[in-house]
Formats: sequence, structure tokens, C-alpha cells
Amino acid sequence: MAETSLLPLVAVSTPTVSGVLVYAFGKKALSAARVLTVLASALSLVPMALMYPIVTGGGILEVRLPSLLPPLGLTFRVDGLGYLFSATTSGVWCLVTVYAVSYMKGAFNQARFFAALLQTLGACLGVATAGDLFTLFVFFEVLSLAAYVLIVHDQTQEAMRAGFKYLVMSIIGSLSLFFAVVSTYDVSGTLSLESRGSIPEKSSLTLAIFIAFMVGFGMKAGVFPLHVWLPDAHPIAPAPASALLSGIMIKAGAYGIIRVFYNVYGVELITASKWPSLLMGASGASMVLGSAVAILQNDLKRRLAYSSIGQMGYILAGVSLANSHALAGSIFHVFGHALAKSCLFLCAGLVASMTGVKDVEAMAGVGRRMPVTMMAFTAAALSMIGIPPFNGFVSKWWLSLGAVRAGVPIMLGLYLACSMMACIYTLPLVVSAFFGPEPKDRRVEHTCGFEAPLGMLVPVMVLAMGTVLFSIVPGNFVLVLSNVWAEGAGLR
Amino acid sequence: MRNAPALVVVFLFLGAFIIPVAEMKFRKLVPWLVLTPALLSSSLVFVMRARVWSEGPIRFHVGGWAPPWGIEMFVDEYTTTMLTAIFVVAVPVLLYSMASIPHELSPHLTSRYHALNLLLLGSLCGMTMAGDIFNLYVFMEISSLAACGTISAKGSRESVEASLRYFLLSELGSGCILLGIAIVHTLTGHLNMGLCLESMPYAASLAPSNVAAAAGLVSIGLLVKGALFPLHIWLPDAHAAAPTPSSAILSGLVVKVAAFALWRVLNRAFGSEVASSLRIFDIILLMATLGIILGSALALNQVHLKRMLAFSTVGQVAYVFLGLGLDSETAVRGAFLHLINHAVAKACLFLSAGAIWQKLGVSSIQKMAGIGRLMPVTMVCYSLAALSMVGIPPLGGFTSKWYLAKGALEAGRPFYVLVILVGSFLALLYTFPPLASSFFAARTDFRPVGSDGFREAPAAMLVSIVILGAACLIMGMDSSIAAQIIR
Amino acid sequence: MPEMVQSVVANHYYLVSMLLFVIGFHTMLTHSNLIKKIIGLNIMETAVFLFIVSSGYVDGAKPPIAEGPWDRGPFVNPLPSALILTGIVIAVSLTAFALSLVIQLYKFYGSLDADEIARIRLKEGERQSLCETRQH
Repeated sequence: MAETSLLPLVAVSTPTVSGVLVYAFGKKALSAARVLTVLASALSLVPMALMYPIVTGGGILEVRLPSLLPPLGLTFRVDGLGYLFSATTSGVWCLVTVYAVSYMKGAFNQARFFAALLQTLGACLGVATAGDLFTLFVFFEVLSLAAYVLIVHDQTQEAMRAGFKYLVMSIIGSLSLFFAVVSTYDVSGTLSLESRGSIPEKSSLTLAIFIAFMVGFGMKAGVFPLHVWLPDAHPIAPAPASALLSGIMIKAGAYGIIRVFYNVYGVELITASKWPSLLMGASGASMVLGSAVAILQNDLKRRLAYSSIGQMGYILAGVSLANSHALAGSIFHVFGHALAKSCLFLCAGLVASMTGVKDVEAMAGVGRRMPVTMMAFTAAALSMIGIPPFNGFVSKWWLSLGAVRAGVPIMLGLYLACSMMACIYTLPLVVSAFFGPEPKDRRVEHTCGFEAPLGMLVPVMVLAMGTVLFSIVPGNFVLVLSNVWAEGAGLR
Repeated sequence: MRNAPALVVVFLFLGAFIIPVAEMKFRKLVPWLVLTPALLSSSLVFVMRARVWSEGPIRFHVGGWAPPWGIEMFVDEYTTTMLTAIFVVAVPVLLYSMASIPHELSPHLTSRYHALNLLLLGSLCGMTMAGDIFNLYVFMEISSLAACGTISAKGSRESVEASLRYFLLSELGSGCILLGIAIVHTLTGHLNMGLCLESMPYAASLAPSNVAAAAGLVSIGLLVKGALFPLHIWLPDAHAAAPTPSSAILSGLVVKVAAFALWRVLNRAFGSEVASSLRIFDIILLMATLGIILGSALALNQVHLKRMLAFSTVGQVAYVFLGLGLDSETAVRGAFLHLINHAVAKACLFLSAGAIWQKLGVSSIQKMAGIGRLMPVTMVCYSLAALSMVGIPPLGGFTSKWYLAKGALEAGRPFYVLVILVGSFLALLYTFPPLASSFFAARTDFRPVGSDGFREAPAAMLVSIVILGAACLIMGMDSSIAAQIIR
Repeated sequence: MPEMVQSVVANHYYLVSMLLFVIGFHTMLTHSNLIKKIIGLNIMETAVFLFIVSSGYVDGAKPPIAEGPWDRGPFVNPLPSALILTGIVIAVSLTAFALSLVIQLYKFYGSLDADEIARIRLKEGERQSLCETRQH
């Protein structure tokens, strides 16, 4: 079934090694470092492309490196779900890196930022292509540490405080995960993510393990009530880093939860017990609270951060509903939200750097100055709300189907309510941006006739187009893969 | 090669005796005289290791007299692991001391300090290889004396006081150990550990309370030397006030050899049935739990960097005792792994702290802002060692915590996994602020201490720090080392 | 009752050495004078030596010096004496080292009393922190 291939290893090690090189030589040869960064993230797309035919054909790729901890070692394994995550990760990362190289011009300590960017990419790909829980855990830790460097990049008091809060909570999550992984190894004798359920039976210990997994991965995913680090950390990072934090890294937590549900515990155990209702409750609360508090935020990036909490609630609710439609919708929403949220954060960064506007109230008239940016923002916002013909509609449709089939119609109501709240926190500012009166003392920086340097504008446009593309293009491979995997996990 | 066990100790002692004499005439030779015995002894340790793993334990009879009349030196796999740990830490530290001692001590004392250092190392090796409980006691006293000597070498008020306090508490322990040994001798008529083991069941049936008293006395004494909470009171002052290489050796090796000796005596002289019937391991587990949590917690409000590291030792050594107390195979493996990992990491941390003090005059944590720019290599190694102690993969500390956690689960006591995790969390809390402020100083108060520009540590010190830092990384990435700890 | 008296009489060496051990231990812990602590250490160690030597005694035996190859008479066990010789050497070196440390401390603080020294240190610490705050 599984063929051995070095592609996953190449995908993970390219950014990691390049990251070290960029840090070591970046201070002296900054432009070379920039080129290397973009090249490395583009190169990580190559293995993804190569893996595509195999994975869509139903194959699985595997490679083992047994030297790390006997008898376990690093195992890389790419199946449909892993492929989706890693392809999304490298695609979005590549675009954001191009943006970052232009955005960070003239900033201090760029070499460190790019190195951390690459290391985080390597760690995310490691998480996505992990073949057993141990590898997942190792890369999860590396991810937490590398992301810390991104968050505290500005080194202001605020950044250091936010970074410390993030780190402490991340490590608490990691320790909880450590307990869960060690106990799983003890209970089931294996850590492999190959099987469809390696834990044999319910007991109080396996319930404790379940809660530990939820805490560990949920901390990263920003589920209520473990989300407190998120609204401080995401806005304080530089814009490209925020885009990646909200777009990809919190999804790593969701990825972990999906794996735990369907590969560690298995469908039968999950559906037979009442445990998913824990996750359902937490994600429902996330949805409502995240979206509601987003409405009250004035700072644009903070608003987007709370919106991420809400959207993660959607994803995790779909996972907890435990049927194939909901799961497919979840996975598709991971993809769609990654595109949409990164686009939103990148636009926010563009607006802030070109016009100095950070607050929502001050956004009147920006749309006339920066039409392309604000149109991309609108597209991404509409996708997040879930209006056809955007991606978001497709995912919400499948999620709602899943909710109805699972017999939890209240979820449907929550989905609609949160979409409504998403309207409230995005559409008014879009309207005021395009049609509002512009204050007199706005400063604007024009470069070469366009509203913003091309290096920043092109990725934003590509991401915005992506939010439309994957719902109207026939043969939507993302949706197909999601469905295939969901059915393959044993759900009906 | 039959004489290898004795030669390991002999080389080091010979070096120690020759150095003060050589200083008078051949000043230039002293560095060579310090490193050569250490290197010779470490090569002997490798040879012994190969021999022990292929052919089984080595028993060396001093003077050719076999037990019960003669002294035996017993080298098995655990012993060679401990010896490897000793030399992996000692050789870089000795190299470091070449460069740092001239700055820390007055010139007429440096060669005597080196002599004491070699004595300390020789006696630690002797303690590890002792097959005879009285021989263990003798080497232990030599190591106490040498350790106290090296602590007070600085001649300052704090170091003399710390040395005296260490001395008094340690000798309290030694007195108890000697009494315990005496009782064992009275009961079984033997001093050789293997022979004691054979006669112990009979002795236990005749006089169980005497055996209990002996075991208790020996344990308490060795726990004082191993600084297990609440018998750790001497440690923070002693390790903080000592010259830097001594802090590294004390924190990294001396307390560990005491833990090893405890395990050895309880298992080989008393036997595991006696030990478990007395529930000594349970008491050790309780003290270890308190030590992990309270030792790490006490490190949180320390201002002085070396004092914080000393309190951290209290917490981390408790992990070793936790593993030994859990007494399942994986837990003991984890304990030995943590012994090595912590020795390497703590030595690296102390040596970096010493380098920072020597080059920049900084000894308090709050003044460490921005040091990462001035001394990048040192601080990177410091970070590797600190993260290894928190237990982040792929560094060494993670491997040992994994084995300890697994051992706790195998022994059927999942509560201790929680203790391990709380300890890791506290370790993060006290480890992180110096790291964060040195690399990511908040920009408002960013003022690198000293003039700007690269001010790395001198070559000898830097090489040692890098070796130890790399060892932390290698211990984590290459798991064959873990497999070679115990068969 | 008579068995207890009999066993006390038979083992009086051991009992006395235990008593001395406890006295020495207690002195080391509780007395604050440093010289007394060192004396306590010596008492403790001497007690253990007494214990060891008396454990080797055989009733009605000769000292362990053979007068010729025909001498097979009961000898006192020589091993404990060898042990305590080593022990005495260790005790002497420990005492010497401890005394040198105490002399150094006396030169620094002018007192031989551990509590007094702690008090002086506290006062110095307060004065130092006062100086530091005044310099602001």
C-alpha cells in the first residue's frame, strides 16, 4: 500500500536547512538571504507537485528514520489528509514569503525573521507529513519555538509580553501532549498514525489521554478557553507572520485533533462515546465568542485574530460531528480559511504600511486609494462569510449538511449566526473604505504609480483569486480529496 | 588491561601529586600535567567499556588479594556509563579551567587548585568503581575534602562560608554512612558488596531492625551528598560561590556519583528485597517529587545567575532520584540518561555563565540584556543546554524525560508523569527569562553591557562550551547512545 | 528483665558508642560555636571507631600477632583495627581542613559563632542594599 519515497523528507528538510543558512550568513549578505528564502519556500512546492499524482491515485508515501528514540524514530507519511495540509502550507507560505521579502525592506534583523520563517515552514510541513505521533510531537514543539521568534520580532515591551504568554501556553500544551503521547504508547503499544484506531477501549485513563490531546492541540488551535494567547500574539507579529500564524499554524492544531480522532481513537470508539461533545461544546463557544468579540475590536489585526478564533470553531465543530460530510467540510474550510485569512492579514499589513491606518474607524476612503487591496480584502471577507461563489460557501454547505445529518441542527443555527456576525465585522469597514469620506491628514506613500509595490500586491491578488477559484473550477481536487479521506476514515 | 580500573584512579592521583612539585620548577608543564592524566584515564575508560560490553564485568583485586581478604574494584555496564559521563564532562571542564582559573584565583593558588581538581576526579572514579563499601567510604571522603578545597580556593568570605557549611553537612552524612557500614560489617562479617549481598538475607532474618538501621543510615548520608530535598541546603551557596569549573564539576558530577553510589549500595550490598521491604524507594520517591517541584520553584526568584543554576540542579538531580526510586527498568534507564544529560547540560550552563562573567562582568540575570549579540556562540550553546533541561526535542533532556515518563507508566504510577511535566514547566519559567532578554532584549532598555563589538570568550573556554553544547544536541539526536546506557 | 540486663551488659560497648554517636551528632547540629561543631564531628567519628573495634573483639583472645607458625590460638579480628586506622587518618585530615576554614572565617568576621556570623552577614546585606538605594 505504502511506497517508500524521500519526497516528504525533502519537503521538510529544504526549508529547515535553508533557514539555518539564512541565519548564519544573512547578516552579511542580506539580498542573497532574501533570494534564498523565496527560493527555499518555492522549492518546497516541488515535492508537493511531484506527490500529487501518487496521492490522488490513492497511494501513500512513507519514509522512516529510526535514529531518534529507539524503537521509535522520525517517520514521514503522506496520505490524502497530510497531502492537503502540506500542499496548502507550502502554497500559502510561498506567496507570503514573496510578500514578506518586500514588506520587511528596511526592517531590522531581517535575517533572523526570514530564518525563523523558513524554520516554521519546515516544522509545519513536518507536522503535516508526520507518520506517527512522536514525529508529530517533535515537529509541533519545534513549530512552537520557531513561531516565538516570529512573534517577538519587533522586540517592543508589548511584543515580549505577548510572546511570553504565547510561549508559556504553548509549552503547557506541549507538556499535555507529552503526557498524552507517552500514555498512548503505554496503552496501545504503538504511536503510528497508520491505523484506524489503535486505542483498544474506553477507560478513565483513555479519557484523560483524550482530554490531554484536546488541551495540547487545542491550545495551538485557539479553542475556547485556551485561546487567550491568540489575540495578543497574532496582531503583534509583523503582517506576513500574522498571516501565517492565523492561516496555517493554528490549523496544525486542528490537524492534530483530526488525526487523534480518526487515527488514534478510531471512528467506532469516538462515535460510541460521548467525548466528541466536549469538543463540540468548546468549538461552539469559540465560534460565538470569537465572532462576537471581533465585532467589538477597533484594531484591524486584533479583529481578524478574534475572527480566526471563530473560524477555528467552525472547523473543530465539523470534526466533532463525526460524519463524512462534516469532516469533508472541515477539511475544505481549513484550506479555504487559510487562503482567506492570509489574504486578509496581508491586506491589513499593506494598508498599515502604505497609509498608516491600523484602526477600523480610520479606514474611511482607503478603498479609493488602494482599490486592488481593498477588493482582495472584500473577496476574502465574502469567502469567510460564506457567500457563493466563494470557497467559504462550499465549506459551509458541507458543514451544514453534516450538522443536519448528525442530528444537531443547533449547529446549523450557530453557523448562520456566526456568518451574520462575520458580516457585521467585515462589511461595514469595506463599505466605509470604498464609499466613506477620506480625512484630510492621511499620509500616503506612492511607489511607481501602483498603489503598493508589486511584490506585495501580487501575492494578495493570487490569494484572493484562490478564494474564488476552488469553488467554481470543475474537478475541485481539494473537495474531492477531502471527501475521499473522510470516507476512508471509516465514516459514513 | 586487567589493571585498568586501578590505573584510571592512579593516573589522576599521580597527576595531582606531581603538579605542586612541578609548579616550582617547570611552570609551563602544568597545563599538560592536568590534561594528560585526564586523557589517559578517559582512554582507559573506553577500553574498559569495550571489554565490559563484550565480556562482562571486570573485577580487579587490589594487590592480587581476592575478597574477602582483599579490596575489589567492580566495573560493570552501569559503572562504565557513569565513568563515561564523568570524563565527557571532566575533560572539557579541565580544558576550560586552564583559561579561567588564572582570572578567578590568586596566582600562587592555581596549581594547587588543579591538583585538588584532579584529586576530586580521581576519587569520583574510585567511588564509582568501588566494589567494597568501606573503599567507597574512603573515596567519598577524599572527594568531599577535595570538593571543599576547591570551593574555598577563591578565598572570599562567601566561598569559605559555603565550603564550611558544605563540609559540616556532608560530614554529618559521612558519619551516618560510616556507622551504617560498621553495622553491616558487624551483621554480615563482610565488606565486599557481593559477599554482603549473599549474607544479607540471613542477617535480615536474624536482626531485621539492624539491617533497617544500616540501610537507613547509609541512605540518609548518601542523600545528603546527593542533595535531595530537604537535604539540599548546602548546595546553592556551595555551587554558586565556587570557581566556575568547580561549579560545573560539583553540579554535574559530584551529586550524581552520590546518587549512583546510593543505587549501587542498595542494590548490590543490601539487595533489592531488603530495599523494597524497607520501602526506602518510596521515601526517595516522595523526596524526589518534593525536590523537583520545590527545587525548581525556588529557582524562580533568584537574581544571581549561578545561584539560579544551583537551585536548578536541586530540581534536576531529583529527577535522577525519581527514576531510581521508581525502580522499573525503563525508569532506571531514564535516570541514568538524565544523569548524563544533566551533567553535560549543567556543565555547559555553568561554563557559559563563567565566560559571561569573565568577559563582560555580568553575574545577575537582569543585566543579561543583549548579550546574545556580543557573545553569540556562547549564548547559542547556553540555549541548547537550557532547552535540553526543559526537555525540548530533539535535545538530550527530552530523551531522558521520555524514558522517565514511560518508566513511571510501566511501574503503574502515572502520577509521576504529572510531576515530571510540572518540573519541565517550572524549568521553562526559570530558564527562559535570561534567554529571552539576552537574544530579544526589549528595545526600550536595550543597552549591551560593555562596548559593542564581538567579545567572545577565549578559545580554550569557547571550545569546551561548544563541545558540551554539541553534546546536548547529539545526545538527543542519536538514540543509539540511549540504547548503550544499559543493556 | 534479667535477659535485658544481661544483653545490656554484653553489648555495653555498642550502647556506649551509640550514645557517643548521638552526642556528637547532636553537638554538630545544635551548637552554634564552630569549634564545638568540629569537636562534635570528632566525637561522632570516634564513636563509630569504637563500635567497629569492639565488634572485632573476641572474648579471651590474644592480639593478632602470631608468634610462630604453630600459633593457632584465638586472635582478635585484625580487620576492624585496619578499618579504624584508615578512619582515624580521614578524621584527622577532615579536622585539620575544617580548622583551617574556621581560622579563615575568624579573620573575616572576628567571631567563632555561626549565629553571630549570620547576624553580621545580614546586617552587612542590609547596609549594602541601603547604600545601593541611596545612590539612586
